[in-house]
Amino acid sequence: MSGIITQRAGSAQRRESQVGEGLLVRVLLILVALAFLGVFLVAPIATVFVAAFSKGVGPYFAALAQDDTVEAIKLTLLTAGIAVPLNVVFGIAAAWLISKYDFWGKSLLITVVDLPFSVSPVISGLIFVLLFGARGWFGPWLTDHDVKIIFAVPGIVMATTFVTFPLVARELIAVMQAQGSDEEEAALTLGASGLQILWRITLPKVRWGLLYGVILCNARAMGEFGAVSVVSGHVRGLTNTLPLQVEILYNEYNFVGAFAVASLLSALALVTLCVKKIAEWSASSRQAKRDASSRALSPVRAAVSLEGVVP
Amino acid sequence: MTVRVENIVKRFGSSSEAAAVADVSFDAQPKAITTLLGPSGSGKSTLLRLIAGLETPDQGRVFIDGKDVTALSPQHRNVGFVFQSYALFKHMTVADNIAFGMKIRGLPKAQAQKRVADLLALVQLPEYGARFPSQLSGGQRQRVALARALAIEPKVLLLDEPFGALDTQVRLELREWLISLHEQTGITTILVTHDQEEALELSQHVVLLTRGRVAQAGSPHDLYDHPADEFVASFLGGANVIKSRVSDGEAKVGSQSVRAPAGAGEGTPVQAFVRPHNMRVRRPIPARDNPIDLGKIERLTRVGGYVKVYVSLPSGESVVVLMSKGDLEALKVEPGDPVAVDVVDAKVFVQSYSI
Repeated sequence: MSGIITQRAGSAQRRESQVGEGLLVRVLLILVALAFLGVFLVAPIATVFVAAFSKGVGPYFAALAQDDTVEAIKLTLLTAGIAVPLNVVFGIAAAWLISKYDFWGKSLLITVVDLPFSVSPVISGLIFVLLFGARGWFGPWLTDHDVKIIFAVPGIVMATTFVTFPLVARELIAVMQAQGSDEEEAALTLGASGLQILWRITLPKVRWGLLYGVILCNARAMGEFGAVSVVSGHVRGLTNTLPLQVEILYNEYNFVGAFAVASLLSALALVTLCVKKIAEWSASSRQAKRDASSRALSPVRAAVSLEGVVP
Repeated sequence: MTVRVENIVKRFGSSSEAAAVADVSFDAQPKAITTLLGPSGSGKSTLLRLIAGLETPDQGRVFIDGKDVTALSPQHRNVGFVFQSYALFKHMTVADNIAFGMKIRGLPKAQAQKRVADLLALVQLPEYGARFPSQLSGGQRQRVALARALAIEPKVLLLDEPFGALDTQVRLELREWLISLHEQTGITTILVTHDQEEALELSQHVVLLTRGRVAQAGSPHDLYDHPADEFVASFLGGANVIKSRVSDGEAKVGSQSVRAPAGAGEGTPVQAFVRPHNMRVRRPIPARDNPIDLGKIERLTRVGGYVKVYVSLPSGESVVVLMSKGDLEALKVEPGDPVAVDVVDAKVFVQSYSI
């Protein structure tokens, strides 16, 4: 898919020289774009790292090695480690159902899948407090049985799962709907069962979309603030995730500590983008390799595609 | 190895909409190629998918090999299905595509490999096992799809517009190839197509569908020579339509009179269907032809050894006459000349009021 996009971008570039505006307009547009990027994207991220290292490398690592911060890192990893696999399983099931079957209430299901995106994260957190909090629907029952959900790890995991719920599903629904069901139907007539089709046909078909969804889901799960803030209770070393830890340190005027933790999250974002880029690049280079070898196989087609390139 | 479809009804969407397949019954002859022919929207593809089990009928039953398979899932029907879009598994090599059904059935690896090699030879792609579908041309992909369908030794082969996405040259080649493949395998085959030429050339039995119903079923020659109604006559082979009225039990077609259908009363409007090669133009004979019956040559178009003669009739209707180049040259006629049009053979139907 990304291969096609790259190709289109390539042909757009070639056309630009004939259709494009004059030199002055082009330089101006580029400057505007760069200035915008600088002010709204590069500068904030750079600030994070500058502030984190403002007192040197030693205090930076000392801040990260604090017990509370280490606990926050562990809790964040645990939360993402539970929320992401849950949403992968759910996302595959929902996307499979929505793209392969027609049933009553399908559009309702699609709307519900998107619901966490349209609700403010704070509300998402409050929902769980209303359900499982001391005065919530299940509150008394939970207290009787000595189960703690709100202001404890289970609540954080639930709120994170809820907020990151649509990310894998949406990505897969788009990919699966675009690819259609012909291959699945072919596998069905060849005698494959539903699970065999899922495992051998559908998942390999959507693997890049799935990877992309997982990456986005993971980034959001680690970075979620609003919903987690409501259900966490901010107990140091126990229920603080990385974003909450940033807030606490900042409010205590521990700027190096706050920005050191923030730099971890920013680095995560950069790593996420890199992995995504590599995934896209490897998908498109495979495609390009196949295209190249099929072109080598058929001299006629190679000639045709050359015609397209040479003006 | 026969397929039997009994009173199949299939609706999509609400019950108020017209059924995609409305009460269709037919038999596919064993070891023959049966074509489901019809214009788009006639329900032919839906019917094929119903036979494969990819759709569930609202009413009616499907038999394969004498066994009622209506309630059986496609997984267990053991039919080979070939899609217009090829539907090859893009992430697998050609060999893995063909081996897929055998792998699912748990066939020993060595045996499956041998069969893949045999099938690749059968579809004339012996060197292509290690390639990916994206490295093949459309015609090659469709041959792989056929090999994959044949790999499971299906009871029937179902082909859904298999050559629809290919260009004319490849389509004609594959048509020839399919005939020889069928001679080698002898497998009962049902083919869906909207291309009447494909149907007439490939199949021993044609089921012509329109609006979810069977218009006529029979041998290609039967349908061509003895169309049951106007739709069959106009869909198959292309025909000139000449409107007329019954007078004295006859209908006037061009300068000729043709016997009217039985039961058509005096003055009934009728339509005559005349194939282009069932008409002749000749120079008028003043003693015999009434000048008001004469047509006029509008245009001559040469097609290989034949010439298409476009003649406007006195009624204002325009017809196409197909004549051999030699016959026409002997007449020495030019566009604009008055000519008489003789009808060799015509089918006359009482005009339906719906049209």
